[in-house]
Amino acid sequence: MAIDIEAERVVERASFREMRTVDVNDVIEYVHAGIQQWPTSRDLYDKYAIQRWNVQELDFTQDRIDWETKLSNDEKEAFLYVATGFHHGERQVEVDLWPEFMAIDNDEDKIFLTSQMEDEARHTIFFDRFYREVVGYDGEGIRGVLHQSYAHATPGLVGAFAYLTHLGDRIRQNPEDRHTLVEFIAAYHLWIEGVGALTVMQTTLNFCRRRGVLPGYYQGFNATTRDESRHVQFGTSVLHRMLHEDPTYVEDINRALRVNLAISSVAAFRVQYEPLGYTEEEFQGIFMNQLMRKTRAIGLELPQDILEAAQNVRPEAFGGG
Amino acid sequence: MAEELFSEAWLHEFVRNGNNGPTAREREEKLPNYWEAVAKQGATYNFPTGLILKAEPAKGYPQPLAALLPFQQGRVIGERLCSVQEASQQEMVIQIAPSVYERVNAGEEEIGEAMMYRDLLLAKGDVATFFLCSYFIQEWFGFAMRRTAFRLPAMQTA
Repeated sequence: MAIDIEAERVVERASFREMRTVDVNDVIEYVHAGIQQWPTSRDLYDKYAIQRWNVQELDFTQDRIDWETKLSNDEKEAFLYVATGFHHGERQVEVDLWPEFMAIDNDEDKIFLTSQMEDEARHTIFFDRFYREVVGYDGEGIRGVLHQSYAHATPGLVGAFAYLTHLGDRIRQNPEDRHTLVEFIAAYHLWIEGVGALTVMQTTLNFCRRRGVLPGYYQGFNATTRDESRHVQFGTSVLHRMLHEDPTYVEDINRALRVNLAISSVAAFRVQYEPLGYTEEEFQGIFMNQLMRKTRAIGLELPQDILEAAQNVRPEAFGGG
Repeated sequence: MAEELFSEAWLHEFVRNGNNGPTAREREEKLPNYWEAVAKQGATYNFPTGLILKAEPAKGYPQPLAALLPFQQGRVIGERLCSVQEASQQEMVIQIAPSVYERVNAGEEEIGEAMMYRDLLLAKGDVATFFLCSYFIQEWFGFAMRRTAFRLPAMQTA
């Protein structure tokens, strides 16, 4: 599915308020249309300046009513498993993005990454507000609420984000190591954001839209998805550029995919996604589509073992990002 | 009676608890395929691992302490206390602080949170290799840290 010019224009220019009605499927297609145009980091920064939003403008009053009166327990449970991945994921990347900023050597890339860090901070606060004001969690600071939502975290989520955060640590120790930088960018922008996050965004936001529930969440998370378009376009663009400079970086990208696929091919719990309107097969289909579109765009031919591993991905293992 | 953290007796108990794996109840809480993956990963994690307790004077540890955990086929065999220098020379080196151990043991922090927040830190070793075994690591250290009671050293008063 490709996005038409008019829909692309709507997504690109929608105000924060208008994100309440913009179709998430168009936002997902907008991500891919952008990749094909290879925007520069300066282009993406300029888009950020136009598209950034204020998390304090969100009103969760109706969401609270929907949560208490419209959503079934099964729907809430499935929703929390998915949302918890983002709740933790946004905090992780907000705190751990700066090694990439430190190691990347192009000024325009650094300028873009400052905008991404600000995006991730805003997304972290968005989820903090959602959990407090809608789900009803309470706790001291960001960590206190995260600790409560950890009850819905999976070992797969832990694996993916602990891997990323340790790669960041290695970059801190040796900012000149370009191979670790590529592995980090692949693990973060390509896998976590480009594949895992977009898959989950597509499924949960379509659930809200179909059920006509959680309008504040839809507005904020749809805007988050549009923010994600800039992050994914940036990451794929940098990987494309770096692969062009040194084709041996392909091994670093493949390593990041192999680790994440190994993590994502095992589920610790069975999560019923049917209440969100998706079967496991549909979930896997969306995931494969996201993976193949990104890797093709950057000119990556996936080896057979990665393609096979990708067939075994369990949606329960990788919610969030 | 609980043993002092990083004493000989504590270390043997810690390893015994990690090696024991899940109880029947813990096994039931997760899918059979997951436990198969844990076992499979454990079989590949054959690394001598240095475990370093970071210095934390407020908890009675003005200097770091260390132990050697030789992992073989998902179990530690032949653990012993060692110098920080020796632990640092191992292929994989994990660091924790006494307060982190305390929180995980008390159930105030989950082992997964400790890994994501780098409270349980892979200070040295190949990151990809380590995280290919992330389920095994989460479970082994989770069992060991949650189950092994401990006490902090008596604080010296001036």
